[in-house]
Amino acid sequence: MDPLVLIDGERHNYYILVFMRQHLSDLEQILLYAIVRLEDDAHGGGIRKLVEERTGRLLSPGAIYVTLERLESRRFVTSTLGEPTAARGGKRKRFYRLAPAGARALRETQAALDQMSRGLRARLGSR
Amino acid sequence: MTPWPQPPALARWLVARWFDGEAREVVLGDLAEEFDEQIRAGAGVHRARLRYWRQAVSSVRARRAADQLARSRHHITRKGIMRGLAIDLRFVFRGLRRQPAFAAVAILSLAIGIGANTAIVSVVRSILLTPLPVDRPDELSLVYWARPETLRTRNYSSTGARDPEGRQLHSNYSYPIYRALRDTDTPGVALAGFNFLRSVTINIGDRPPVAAGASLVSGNYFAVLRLGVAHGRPLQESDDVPGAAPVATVTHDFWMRELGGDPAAVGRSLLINGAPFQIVGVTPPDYRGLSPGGFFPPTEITAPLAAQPVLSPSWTPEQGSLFASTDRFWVRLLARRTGGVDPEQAAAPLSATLRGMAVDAGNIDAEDTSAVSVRFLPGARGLDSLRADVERPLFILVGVSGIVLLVACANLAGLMVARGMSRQRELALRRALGASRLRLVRQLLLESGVLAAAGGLAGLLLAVWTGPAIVAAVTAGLGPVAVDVRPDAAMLAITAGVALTAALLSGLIPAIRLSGRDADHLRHRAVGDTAPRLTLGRVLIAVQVATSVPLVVGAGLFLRTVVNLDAVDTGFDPRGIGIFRVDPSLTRTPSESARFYQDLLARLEAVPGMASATLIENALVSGWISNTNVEVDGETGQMYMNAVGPRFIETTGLRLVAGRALGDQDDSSARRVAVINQAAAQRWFPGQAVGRQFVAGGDPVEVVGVVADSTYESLRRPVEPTFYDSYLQRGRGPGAMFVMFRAGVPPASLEPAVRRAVLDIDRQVPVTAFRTQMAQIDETVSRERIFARLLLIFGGFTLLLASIGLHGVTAYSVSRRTNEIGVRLALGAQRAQILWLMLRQVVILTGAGLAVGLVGAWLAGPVIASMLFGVEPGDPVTLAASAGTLFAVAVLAGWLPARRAAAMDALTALGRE
Repeated sequence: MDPLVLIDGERHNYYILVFMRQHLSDLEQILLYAIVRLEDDAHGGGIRKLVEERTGRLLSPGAIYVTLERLESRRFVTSTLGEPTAARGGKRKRFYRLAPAGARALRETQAALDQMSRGLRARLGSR
Repeated sequence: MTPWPQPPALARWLVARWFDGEAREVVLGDLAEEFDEQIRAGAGVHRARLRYWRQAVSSVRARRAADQLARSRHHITRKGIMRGLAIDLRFVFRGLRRQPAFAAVAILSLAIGIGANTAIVSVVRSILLTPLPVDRPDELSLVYWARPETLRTRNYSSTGARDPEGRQLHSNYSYPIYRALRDTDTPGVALAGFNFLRSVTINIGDRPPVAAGASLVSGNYFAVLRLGVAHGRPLQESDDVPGAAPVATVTHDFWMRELGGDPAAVGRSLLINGAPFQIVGVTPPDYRGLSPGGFFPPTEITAPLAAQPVLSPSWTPEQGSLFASTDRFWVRLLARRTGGVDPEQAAAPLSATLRGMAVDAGNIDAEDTSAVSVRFLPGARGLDSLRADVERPLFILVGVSGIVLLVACANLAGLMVARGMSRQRELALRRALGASRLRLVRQLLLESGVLAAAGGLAGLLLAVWTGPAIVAAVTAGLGPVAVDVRPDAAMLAITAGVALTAALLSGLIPAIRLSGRDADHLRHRAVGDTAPRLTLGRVLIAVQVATSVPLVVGAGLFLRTVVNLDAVDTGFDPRGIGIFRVDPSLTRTPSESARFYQDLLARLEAVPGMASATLIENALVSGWISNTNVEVDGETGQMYMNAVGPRFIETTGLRLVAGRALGDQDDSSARRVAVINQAAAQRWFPGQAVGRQFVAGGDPVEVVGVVADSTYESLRRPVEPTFYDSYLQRGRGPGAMFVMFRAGVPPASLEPAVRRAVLDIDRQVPVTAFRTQMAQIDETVSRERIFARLLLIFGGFTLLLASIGLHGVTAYSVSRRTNEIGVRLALGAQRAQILWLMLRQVVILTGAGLAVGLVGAWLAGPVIASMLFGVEPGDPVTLAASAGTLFAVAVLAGWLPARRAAAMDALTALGRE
């Protein structure tokens, strides 16, 4: 945890912190890629299904929700609330879109990973 | 058709509990969608539900993890003082946890400072400030009168006082005058009579007798005092008439202790001085009579004035009744003034009545009446016989505890400033990021507040634990004292007040000091060699040294006092002597009492291990003496006296210088004789003393022997000319006496045998004040001992704190000047020079503190002068020894880190750069 957050409760300090933190965790990367891929259908259930299909990793709706909530507060994604549908017991769902800052962060993180991994695949062994 | 399966309700509830608003809707919707999907895919209800559970739990865990993360940043989204306070608090706790040594020292020192102050202020409150537990105590007055020179009365249980103009006042009135004063028309003033009996004998059933303090009171006493009862009824007018059934009330303490707190005890009968009295009431828990202790012990039994012939037979005149006697003054007066009556105005008619009656009775000469006037003295707290004795020691303790708190606060302030220095960067950064100065002050004060709160809590425990010990310290040697130091709301308030003061004292300086740091300091730090010099911290340490000086000096003075008192030669051999008090005269006639004593001595000397036993009027080294006017060959003066039994010489181990000792033959039928001490022989009978005569109390007395000098009143007093006469030749027969015995075994081990011997002779005579002579002497020195111990503890404690500070400052300075030391070493400086370089500030700080502190100690000297013995407050040896000790400890504290500096090698020191 960045100590700056601990020493003061003033709002602006938080934003200093937020804008300083540009890197993305792997879960965040996976969710952002899923949003890009799903385009207009990027909501909790769709994302979960896509991630499970492609990576075999089962994400819970809660985990998806709070992570996207955090990404939204960092201005990496935007979202809109959908209309209620009978299929989900009359519950609404939230649709997400990648924001420019999110695209930049995803790009930079990926680039960093690529830089770090270039030429190393062979050494990690193959399946 | 089977209904469509539903997701598990409990799991749904769990999710609903952790998510709210829109999040709940979205997450529950997603979960429901997933569940339906599973069913549709043919996974089976069971597996679908299992998966739902797993996803729900996982969702909740994600939410909680996110919340936890957010909580540490939550201030981001919510403002508000309370919220900010909570965050600051958490920050303070985190900081303290990170430096447990700092927190421990700070809390411990504050706990001692706060605890000492709470305990002592509570004791001051309960001894000096607590009013009587009655309605409107401020309306009460004690009614004294200014006495003229020509006063011809016999006074019982009277005490003096002085009015604001310094005139001698008299406490007692004759019964006829008391009645007349009560009947005098004084609107808005109600008068009640009372007096104290130091000891009465109580028999309850078959149990061994006990002694208790008692009061005689008029029938309207409870009404005037507005004193209620916890059980039964108060005493009333009909109880205080001749021939009324004998009744008494007991105090709550007595009722709990002797009667088991049984409400049925009201109505039962007990023997007081051998006569049956019915218990009609139990007074409220906090009531212990009008004297909390001291000259008059707390009251446990309250009986009507009419019971005087039974409860205090020694006051009864040879002829007639005490109630008719006009020359015996034994009734004290208490007044309640209602409706704001002016005391001067109220006193005028009373004075007139008093003058008339006193002149008629021949108590005073007619031309002397102008001096006679009634005076109202404040009575809200009853008699101040105890207060007068404890005020000074309490005052000293208040000063001492104040110093301790001051040192603790200065120490904490120093620690916080030093700690703040290392946090400068953080504080400056926060200022730069926009935190207001007020915000930083608040946080620093919060830090000292948290420490003071923790210290206060620990201090409260300490105070509850030490309160009784402090009462014991200031009242040592004063007999039974009824003072409560109970943890109550007031004590909590005192602690809170002291803790708050401590928080402000220790937090404000660093707060103001440190919050002023701005971004400039960020740059400074980068340079590395300009760490601040901690000027404020050093001043605080000099203050600590200065304030510890009076405590260390005081400890030294009291230690020397104790040593001097221990070294006093009493003249007799106190080891192996036991003493106790009995009073058969309360229940027996003079001749029966004399026989009781003779039986008792005979029985005691038959107890195995007993070497000899005798009687003595006033126990030796107890603070009590008797004296009388004497006349020798026409010259008059005073001599101390002490009535003793046979075998006095053997029992005390005093040396018989000339003549013979007193024996059983010296009884009431024989010629009055006395043995005198050497001081009396030199003062009154130079040359040959044996065979000479003197007049004491109107009777001729022949000197039959001379014994060596010995301590009588107290270790502090020089030996006075004293005569010892036979207890059988005193007045109307022996009264209360101490039995003094010498044993070949530890005297305390004979207590059961002694008690059995007394019980066997008379079941109505209680044994009181059983102790060894050594314990008796120790008790008179116990106050000095306790003071020496308290001052040693407090002095040592403040010295320790100052040393911690000195150590810290020197260590800081060593690390700050590492580069400089490296350069000096590289240029060829000697180790000793480096050592001195580092120690110099310790010497300067300590020297400055010592100089100021010694002046302070010198100024405080007169306060304790009267408690010292054989040493003056300005005693140069004690001052020098104290200063030397302080200096040595301080230099040692500085030497430890300074040694490290001197041991450094140049390359390492420079390499740190």
